[in-house]
Amino acid sequence: MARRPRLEPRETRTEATQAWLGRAADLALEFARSAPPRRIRTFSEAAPDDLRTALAILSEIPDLGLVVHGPRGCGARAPGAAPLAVTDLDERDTVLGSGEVLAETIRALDAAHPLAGVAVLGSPVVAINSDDIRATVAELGTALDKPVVWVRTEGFRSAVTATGGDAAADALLQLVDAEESEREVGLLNLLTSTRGPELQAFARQIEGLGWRVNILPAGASVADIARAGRAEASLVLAPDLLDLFAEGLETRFGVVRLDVALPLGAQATTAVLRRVAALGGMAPPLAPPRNPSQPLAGRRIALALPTAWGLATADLIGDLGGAVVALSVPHVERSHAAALGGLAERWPDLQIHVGEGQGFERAGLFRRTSPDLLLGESDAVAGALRQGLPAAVLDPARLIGAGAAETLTAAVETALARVALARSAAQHARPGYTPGWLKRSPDWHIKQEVR
Amino acid sequence: MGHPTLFPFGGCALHGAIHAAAAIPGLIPVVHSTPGCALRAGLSAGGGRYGAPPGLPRIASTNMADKHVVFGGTSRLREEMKNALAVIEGGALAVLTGCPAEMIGDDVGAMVKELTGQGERVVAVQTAGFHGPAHEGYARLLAGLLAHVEPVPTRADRPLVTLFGIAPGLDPHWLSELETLSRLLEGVGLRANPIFGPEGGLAALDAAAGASISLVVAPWGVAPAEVLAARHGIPVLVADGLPVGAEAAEALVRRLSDRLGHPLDAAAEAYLARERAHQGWRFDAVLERLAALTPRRVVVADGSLRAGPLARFLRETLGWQVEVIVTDSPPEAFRADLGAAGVKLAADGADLVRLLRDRGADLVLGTTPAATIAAAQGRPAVDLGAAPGLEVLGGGLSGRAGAERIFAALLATLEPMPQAAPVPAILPPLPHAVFAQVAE
Repeated sequence: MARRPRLEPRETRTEATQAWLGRAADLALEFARSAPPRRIRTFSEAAPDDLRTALAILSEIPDLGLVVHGPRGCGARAPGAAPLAVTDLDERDTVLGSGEVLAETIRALDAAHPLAGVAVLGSPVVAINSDDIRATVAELGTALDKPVVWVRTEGFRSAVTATGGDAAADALLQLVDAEESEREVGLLNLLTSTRGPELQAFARQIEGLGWRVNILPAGASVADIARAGRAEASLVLAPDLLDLFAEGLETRFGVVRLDVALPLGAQATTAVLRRVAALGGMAPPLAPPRNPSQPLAGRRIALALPTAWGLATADLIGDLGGAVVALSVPHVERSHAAALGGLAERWPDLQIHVGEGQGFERAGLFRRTSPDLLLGESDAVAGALRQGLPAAVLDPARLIGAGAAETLTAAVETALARVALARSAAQHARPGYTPGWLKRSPDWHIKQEVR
Repeated sequence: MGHPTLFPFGGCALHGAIHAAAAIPGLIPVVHSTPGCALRAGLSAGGGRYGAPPGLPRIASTNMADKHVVFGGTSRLREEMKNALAVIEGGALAVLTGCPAEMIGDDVGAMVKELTGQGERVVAVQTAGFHGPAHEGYARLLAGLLAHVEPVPTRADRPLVTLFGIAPGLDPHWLSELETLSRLLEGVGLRANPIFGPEGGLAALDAAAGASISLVVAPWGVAPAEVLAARHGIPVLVADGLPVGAEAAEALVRRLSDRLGHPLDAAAEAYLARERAHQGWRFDAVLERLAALTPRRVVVADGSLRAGPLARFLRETLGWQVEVIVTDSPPEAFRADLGAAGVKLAADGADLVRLLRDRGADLVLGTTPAATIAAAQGRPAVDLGAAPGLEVLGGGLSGRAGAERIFAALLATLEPMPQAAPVPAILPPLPHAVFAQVAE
């Protein structure tokens, strides 16, 4: 059996970087010149990996069984709908290999729960001992007469967790029905990793333009994924994670990928809908008049969001009169460079932090930039509150659609009303980072990798 | 050899060690492993696709890359330890190795020795996930730390009792259990040394080497206590699990007193009598309603800290016949005795589904996952556990307060809902300010 090429890490495929702390303009310049050099940390806090990302994406598919091939802890995940099993490898397996228990686990999960398919995720342990997942997957797919696919996660080959999105996308593409069949006219794939009322409302708007919407992979069935290859077009709402899925649907199955900005706010949403309408030959919706009000005027805001959403949200904050002084994102890659450059022109002193789980770096960032508030992910919010900075969680899923400006403004108001919470959090915070080290050069521990 | 684990509970040894290390004030966990390993310790509590899951402490991590896996990661560990000592506030490092570091044979000991040679307090513990379940990590961490402590002078006014077997971040309401046991010991003239939580810390670790006794309330505490026995001659008392209810608490205290040769004085006896009286008062107040509950096949499904004692409490207080399922994969050495006592072990969710079905339980009490599975099977279930990530909150089951919580939970869950009282059809408008506060 010929070896499949190894999944390219984001560092190679998209010139992604995951370690940066400094001016956005300087990072944009690095992309403009060539690509940022690889950087490493000499002090780091616990960071996520590709397995976590892939597991999270695939866990949203309720009839896809997930088997994590590794010690039991590798199967830990946030609550998800997909049935889960782990091969629970012990020390002996790390030496002698464990193909048998993998096959046994796939069979056991299939017998215990009605499944339309099974995905096997690799762990660092099996990546090190080179267990042959591929052969087991091929054998079981035939034996069980249902798709059994390999998710090529390894845990350490890439420091960019979005590589897990690529591993998930690669597995999803294996679930797409490869049989030659007629295209389903009027079917549009909406590729998303989250669900929520705003997404449903957006999907209804697309349906109002005459399309049938296939939302996937979040909440989809294996059958929904199988028919994705028969759609006319794909629209990506999670470009940082599902870009490769859209690309694969286009190159392998001829599903047109709509190259549009995220539908965040009235103007952007209308632009997306106009593009969708044009593709279907429908009359485009009218663009709403620009709202001149600037409810965020004078506000200095820090953001911590997934990269594509963070960049788009920063732009919207600017349109609403606010200023983004600090932006924390998991990674930055070639596709983000233009938007990053735009923000750097808008706010030349904008500081950008690239990294995940690095509380020390964020603490230094907030300390130096002194924003009025922070909006973003829950770990960043907790970190900010412990520093006495008002903050509120902002879920990107809530920003989908025309109502993003209102959602954003409400989140700012929520954060600013949290002075008491910030005071309590700062008062009760357990010992944290040594003050002297927070005052040092912010990126003293981020070095260019010597290869 | 590995085995299929379907719908797994909990995490691995590394995760248990991280939770335990993080609960000792002054101790900084440094994980030597690939990215992802440390953060998975908190994922059951949520956390989505990005960043750190809620509730995890600051964890330094080498986040080994492919080159470290291929060429070794010791130099990376050296710089991480050095920088962690500088950057994170604390007094000591616990270096916790994950599977990749142990598989490639990194000489962690040599790196640690470099720092200890400079007077730094650093201990390395082998906690790779493949060593076992999360509770195994708790036991390994404590045993590893205690293997390096030396006795320090402690206040000798009362016998010091170090508590073992309650695993932070894993056992539901762990902090409350430690606090309740500490109060119980204080109440009878002893002094508790909980090691974990706000009353614990590096000084408490050191004090354990000079304590009067090690009190073990779950199988996972035996190995660490034996380290102290072997190195410092600290006697060990292995209790019959968590003392659920006032009677069990009293029995435990009397055993401790006998073992220590420290007779209970009049104040201690009065304290115990008050505890009995407080529990009895509440029991009597709800007796009619408890008596109306008539389950026939009761199953307790919980960890080894609480399952047996909870079943015993239900048998001895309410007269119910109770079967026990232990859900935390207890150490091998204890399994024969558990089996002889009719206790079943559930290694994963699939085991638990099968065991509950086979027993035909008409009432299930225990952890949140057990209660969830029972409810999904249509069985009445009393959730005495904690939602993932919230183990630190809530009152526990030990002592008379634990008995009260069990009564309350039973009645709240099992009593038929009273007919809803009518509410006024026209309510006066609430001031806007109230709504604003609720929204916030």
